Amino acid sequence: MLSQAMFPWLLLTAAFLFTLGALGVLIRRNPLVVFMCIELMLNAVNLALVGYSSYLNSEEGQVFAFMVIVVAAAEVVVGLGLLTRVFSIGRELDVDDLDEMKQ
Amino acid sequence: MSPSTAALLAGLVLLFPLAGSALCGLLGPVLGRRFVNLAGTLSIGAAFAVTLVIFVQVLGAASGHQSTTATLWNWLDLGPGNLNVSVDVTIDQLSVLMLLVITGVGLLIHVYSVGYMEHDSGVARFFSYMNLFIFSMALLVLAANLIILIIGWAAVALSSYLLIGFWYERESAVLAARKAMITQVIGDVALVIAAILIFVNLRAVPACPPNEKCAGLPQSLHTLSLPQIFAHASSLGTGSPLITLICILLAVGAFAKSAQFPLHTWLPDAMEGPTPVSALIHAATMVTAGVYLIARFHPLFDLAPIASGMVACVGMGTAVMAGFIALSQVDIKRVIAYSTMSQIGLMIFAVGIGAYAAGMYQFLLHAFFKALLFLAAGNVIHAVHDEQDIREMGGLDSRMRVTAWCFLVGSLALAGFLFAGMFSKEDLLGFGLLNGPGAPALYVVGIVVNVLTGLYAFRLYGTAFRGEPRSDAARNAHESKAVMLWPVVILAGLSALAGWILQWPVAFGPHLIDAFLNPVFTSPGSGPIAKAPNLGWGVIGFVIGLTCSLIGIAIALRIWVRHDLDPSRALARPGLRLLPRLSFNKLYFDEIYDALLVRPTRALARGLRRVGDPVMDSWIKGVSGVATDFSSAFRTIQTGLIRDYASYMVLFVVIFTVAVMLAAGLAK
Repeated sequence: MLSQAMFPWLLLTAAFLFTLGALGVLIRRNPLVVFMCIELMLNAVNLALVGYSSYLNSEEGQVFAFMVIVVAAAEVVVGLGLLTRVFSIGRELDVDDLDEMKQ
Repeated sequence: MSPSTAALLAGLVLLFPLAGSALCGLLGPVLGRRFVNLAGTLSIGAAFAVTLVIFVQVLGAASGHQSTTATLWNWLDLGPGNLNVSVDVTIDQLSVLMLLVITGVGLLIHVYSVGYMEHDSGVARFFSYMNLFIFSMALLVLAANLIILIIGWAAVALSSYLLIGFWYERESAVLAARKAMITQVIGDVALVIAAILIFVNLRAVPACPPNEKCAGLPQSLHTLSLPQIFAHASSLGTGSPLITLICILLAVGAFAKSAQFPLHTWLPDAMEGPTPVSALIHAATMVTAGVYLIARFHPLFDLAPIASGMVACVGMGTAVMAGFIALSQVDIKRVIAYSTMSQIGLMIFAVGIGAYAAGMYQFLLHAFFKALLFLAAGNVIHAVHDEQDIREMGGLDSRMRVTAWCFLVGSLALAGFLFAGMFSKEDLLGFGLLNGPGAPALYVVGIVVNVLTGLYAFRLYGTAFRGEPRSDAARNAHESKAVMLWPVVILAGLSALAGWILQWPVAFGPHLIDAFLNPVFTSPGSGPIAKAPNLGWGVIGFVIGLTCSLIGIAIALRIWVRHDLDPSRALARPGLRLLPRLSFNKLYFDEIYDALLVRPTRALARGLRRVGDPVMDSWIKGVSGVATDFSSAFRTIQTGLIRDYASYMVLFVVIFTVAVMLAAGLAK
């Protein structure tokens, strides 16, 4: 059981981690690092979910956290697959370089 | 024949070519040439077989019961007292005669096309269009409703357009196709106006018993069904301005389709299409649709003597004019095209003076020998490597023996000696002795046409086939192969024998076609038809006509075969000096139309553009300018960088979250 006093701190930690991840996604140019930042955001959300689950004494938050973990794993598979394709056609691994969507 | 049998047989005649057209057009490019050749000709063969069944049925029917009208299905029903169009077909002697020619000659020409289009890659398209034409033409002659007739009328113009422009990579072909289409549309519009006039004005007969006051005119019938129109034709008035106007409009439609003055200029240009097309559409069948139309609408024309007289004059005028122009053309197909125009002029003359059966007789025999001439000309053109100038030919008779003999038969038939033309043309002109406006004034013109026909027919034969070859291509010419020869030979046999069979044993006087068709033209409700010349007049007319034909042939043979008569000195005299130039330049019709119609229209368009451009432009540019400004404002945010898109997302999520929190705070 989480103590009532610790709960705001937990949320603040989650928010901090999420902001850190978001900033990383927006700022970093290496797609691998961007990926890790996305994972950081997802796990920040997981932390918040689990925290709420404990705070409200309900299992739903935990179940949802598992879902997020599964989705994150699937997303990593797709994302890394894309990255290896980009690398194998000889492109530089730089998100700013991949701007074909403009056309 | 019961209506259900008639519906079935007519439906089959229509269905086969339509199915052939669809098969060739859709599957032809996939399944290849052999399939197209087979499907394209077999469909017409099947239609011809069904037509023969119909013919036997009509022949075998009791007299007075040969005409059957059947409804295939009801197409358009706008309620009682309103437009009601059902797809009706009429099978009678007239339509069956037309169908026999359309599918019979059509079949021969399709077989010929297999050889002619052998090296053309567009053969699937070709057969698809040809089958479509046969379908449209069958629809036109079977139609028992004016709307359906007009649909067929327009559909033959469409297939003619498609086939004239078949070689669409040639600019001249595309221009010729366009010219044909535009001219035809003039006729279509005239027909539609005539249909509207009939629809509005046709009333039930007897409209009002004579010498009695009626409460009011009976209601309009509001129908476009042909049997109804013919039965109640007299309600349009006898010789009244209304029926004269209707008949003149119908005649304008017929003139456009049959290439009569002043709507004739498209036909020579239509020779840009492949030669089988010229044979089928622009000689044997489609261009005679005008003759058919007037013959079919004879109950109306019988009541409108002024319109009929105009038709007769225009027909005879066109016959002379086209014969005169044909004298100096140098393109083998154009000479035949002008001769077609001239011969159809005679048919139009015949139906104009009320000699409908004579006109249809000429149509039947003309279809044989004109298709023959065109197909033989196609063989020649193939043999001399697509050269069409007769000055580059010559001496082909020893190199292409069969074709030359067939062409000679065709020329004799055309000139009216021994073969087909002798019977039909003299028969038709014989009626001219006693009938028509100011008879026998037009007859005199008719015998001039006879002389001209002999002249141009044998000028063509002599220049192209006799003498010495005048080019390497002609020197190396050789006979075509069997698939292109047999149809020509069969048509030559028909041209040579059909007249004799139909008129055995005397070459003048009544013939089988007369007996076959006359019930159609003397049906109750129709007025008087032309007075047939008695035996004495018949003999006199026949002798005069034949003599004139022979004079024409003899002069032509002396000038262009034996070369012992030189017309140039006679033509050098003042007054006559203009004639060759006029003839060669086709009486300057194209130039006159260009100056009177094309140029003013263009000038008008150019002027309007000068005025309209700034006005319209400011308008349209204003509208588009707003859109451009609006979108360019947003264009800058689409950078293609994932980073930017993610930032927008984060930005808007933050804005949204803050907004929700504020809203929740305000709600408290």
